[in-house]
Amino acid sequence: MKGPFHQTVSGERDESDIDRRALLAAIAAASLVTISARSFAMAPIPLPTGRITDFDFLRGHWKVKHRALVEQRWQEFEGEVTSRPLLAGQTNIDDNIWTWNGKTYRGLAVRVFDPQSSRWSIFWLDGQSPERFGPPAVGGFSGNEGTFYGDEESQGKPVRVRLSWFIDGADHARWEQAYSSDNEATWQPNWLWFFERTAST
Amino acid sequence: MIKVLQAADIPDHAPPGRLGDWNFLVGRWRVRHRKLAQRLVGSTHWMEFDGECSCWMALGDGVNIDDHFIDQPTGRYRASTVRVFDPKRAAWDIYWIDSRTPPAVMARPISGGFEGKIGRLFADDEWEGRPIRTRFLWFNDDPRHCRWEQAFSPDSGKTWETNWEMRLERVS
Repeated sequence: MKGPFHQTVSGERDESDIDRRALLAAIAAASLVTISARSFAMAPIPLPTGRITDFDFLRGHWKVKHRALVEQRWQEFEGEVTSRPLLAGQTNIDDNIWTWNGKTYRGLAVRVFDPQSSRWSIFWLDGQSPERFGPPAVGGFSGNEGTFYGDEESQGKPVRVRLSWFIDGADHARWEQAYSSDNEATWQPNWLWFFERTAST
Repeated sequence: MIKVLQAADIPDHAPPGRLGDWNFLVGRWRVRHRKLAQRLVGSTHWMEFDGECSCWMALGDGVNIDDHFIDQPTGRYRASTVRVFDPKRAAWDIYWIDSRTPPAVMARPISGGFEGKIGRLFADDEWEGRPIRTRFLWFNDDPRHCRWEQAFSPDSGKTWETNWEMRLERVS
């Protein structure tokens, strides 16, 4: 079923479907890696490492199509992101805005690279509850795919969080958040972001 | 000339914060740093050096971010401040990211606001394993100049040692 923004933004249905297939394939591939790794060793999967340049692609302004699982239904809405480097690239901050159900939401992503561990820590500030940053998701990029893991609470229960990034050329990118409540055996994606660049700085 | 403030001059509590408190800081600044060589050991040796700072707003008006280049003679580094307004508490929470100790980011914010042109922010923290109280003071002197001071108290706010001062002069 097509969501509201497919009716208002013409000519993007096919592209979006391709995005979705690619994303599902990527999710499947990531799951296979997870399952095979777990079947050979009970030790936790090492967190991915990355490089200080991992988020250089994100610098600039983007429009974003969101798909979010809200009360077990996929909802679609639109937003914008501006990403800016700090600390000579060792940190970057995304300023996010989106509108859902006629209401405007904001959020801040702060990513900090630790050269000692070669990993990024990603902290999220929810504009609705800015009294604290959430716990970090930690990881990095390998090629055009980035994976980050963290621990959060969802409805009072601890969940493992996986954030995935997919770079699709210079002007497109995708992001996915998934939760696991069974020790990373299965993952439930609950929020997808489809990025399209609007300006480079 | 930085006025030497006595502990008695400064109320030992933070005033409430308001949206707009950091509007004066948006822009680019040249910074003169004055930093105590060692903290809480009675040091009187100050290092002076230059730096640069640029500052902007995010999250509507609810977040203020700055990005520092700090040309410290014992080692150049970068640091960043993320200031977040919490409307429920009417407080700004300030987080400090240091390029030399990146994972320590977001550890303990320092909280407060402004009373007129003077900002006061406090936090309970640790210095080399000792519990301390940390205080930031901001002085919004005029549109082209402002100052910041950091002080530590080892005795719950009875005495304060200022260990770092910044004098900022606007570039743009």
